[in-house]
Amino acid sequence: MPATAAATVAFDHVSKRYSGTAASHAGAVEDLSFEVPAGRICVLVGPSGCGKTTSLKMVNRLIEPTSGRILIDGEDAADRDVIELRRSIGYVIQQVGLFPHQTVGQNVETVPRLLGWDESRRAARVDELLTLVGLEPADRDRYPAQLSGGERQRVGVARALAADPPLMLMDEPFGAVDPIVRERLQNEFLRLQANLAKTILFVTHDIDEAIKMGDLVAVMQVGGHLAQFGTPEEILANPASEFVARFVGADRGLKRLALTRVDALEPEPAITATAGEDAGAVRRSVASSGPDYVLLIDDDRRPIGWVRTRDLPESGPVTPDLAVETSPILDRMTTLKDALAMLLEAGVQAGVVVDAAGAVDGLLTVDAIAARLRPAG
Amino acid sequence: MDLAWIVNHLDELGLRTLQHFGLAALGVAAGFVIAFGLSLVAVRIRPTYGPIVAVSGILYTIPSLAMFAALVPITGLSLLTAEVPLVLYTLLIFVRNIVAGFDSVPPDVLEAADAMGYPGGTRLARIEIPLALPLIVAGLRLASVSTIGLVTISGILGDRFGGLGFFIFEGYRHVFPTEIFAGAVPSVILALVVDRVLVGLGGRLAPWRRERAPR
Repeated sequence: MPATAAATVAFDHVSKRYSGTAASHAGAVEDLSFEVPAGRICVLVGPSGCGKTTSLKMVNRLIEPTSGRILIDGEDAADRDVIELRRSIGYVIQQVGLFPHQTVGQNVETVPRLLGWDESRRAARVDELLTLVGLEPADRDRYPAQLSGGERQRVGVARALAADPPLMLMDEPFGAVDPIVRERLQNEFLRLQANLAKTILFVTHDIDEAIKMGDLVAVMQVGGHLAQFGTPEEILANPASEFVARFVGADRGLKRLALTRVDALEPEPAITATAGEDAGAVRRSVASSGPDYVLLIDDDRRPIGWVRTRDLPESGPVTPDLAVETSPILDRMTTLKDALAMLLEAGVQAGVVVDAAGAVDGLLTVDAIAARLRPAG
Repeated sequence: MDLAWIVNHLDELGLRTLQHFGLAALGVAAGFVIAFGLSLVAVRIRPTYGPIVAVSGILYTIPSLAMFAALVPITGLSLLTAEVPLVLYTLLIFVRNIVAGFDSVPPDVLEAADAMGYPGGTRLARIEIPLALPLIVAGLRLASVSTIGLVTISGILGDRFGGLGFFIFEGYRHVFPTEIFAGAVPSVILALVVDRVLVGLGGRLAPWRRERAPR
């Protein structure tokens, strides 16, 4: 995929007022200013009527601002030819808006066709895009009515990416599919974005989706005011107002845990014994520190289970059958939120952190995770 | 039934059927063009829809015999006199169906088309008209069937018009039922055939509607 430079987007005191004065009109936007650096996902999130969709549609001028400027790579969108502007911006909406009378292939090649690409170039691009979004090139001849909701949404993303736009607008793009498909589409899209590095404005009403998808989050409130703009971490750790605190929810501490992975914490050292090692030696080495349990590992340092210190024989080797119980195994890529859930479910104080090869790194305790819940500083 | 009469008049029957079809096709075609223009106005400038439908509706209520009679002093016993009523009677059917066709295009599809950078005319040609086609074709079927029936009345204007209606008027004058049947039955068959052809055409123009089954 050819990598086009991503665009920066800046809202500069943008307002949209409806029917004269009513500032609280649903969809109105009041003096919105923020800047999204190139290659980042910025999520606009807020309750319905807060103006987030209006803000999005002002970028490709489906709605014209009442005042203020929207700068794309420094250039005012209002100064550009509106047709040319729209062809350079990808657009994905919740209802997808696929053209029902056109095949998947024809849908995907919409913008390249409008731009006058020749047929062989369009065909090659369609194949490339369908593969990219997880469909088969053979799907090109199907009609939208023959696709599942998730497949339709993938076609919508492929169509938006067709002319390799430096900027994408996505309005609740995964809102119309069931939670399991949504989760999968979100993950796939984040993987795609890791390579594409487009600048993306993404609208959702779901704070969890905002935290998951956003490099930056703009929390908006009714009346079209920007309540807070920052990274998900900043917004969860230091909500700027009562409104933001309530909107992100009482469980914002827990939500922050979902942003951090196990490898961000230094694991506590584990007292280990290798299977086959002389039990007497192990007994003597732990006697002074006095833990009730040692962690039994194999020759590759992979965990086998816990051995009660007083169960260790006076002599002879430590054998795997002495292991009484095991703790949750925590991959270093597990989020702290998932790790905490695993520990609480197992009813234990510590989990075993392993590396990519499954070898023991150390222990992660509930206390260590809880320490992360307290706001920094 | 006088079969010998029918056999002796097969040539004339064929010619009259062709004339019948020609008169109907001209009326439907002209009506479609006018109604399409009116429908575009009604769709783009919504407040005009009510008045356009109201006027078409009033025209539709005028008895056909009266309309022919009223036109003769103005346009004489001409083709124009034969066609104007046929055209006016299609307007209501066409306008209602064409506007319903455009209204059936989902708003999210139009929004997506705008956001992709379709210029207005291209959007109309590639997105709106194709999606409105099923309802437009439904209107075409209705208008065709009703116009084919109506053509017979234009026989009142003389031998040069009326299509198969010519036989109906002749049969009525001579109290000769065979000739009435010879006019009426082919007219009905013509209407049915045209309807079937249009159904086939509609399916061909909208292949995406036939392939709904998941793979």
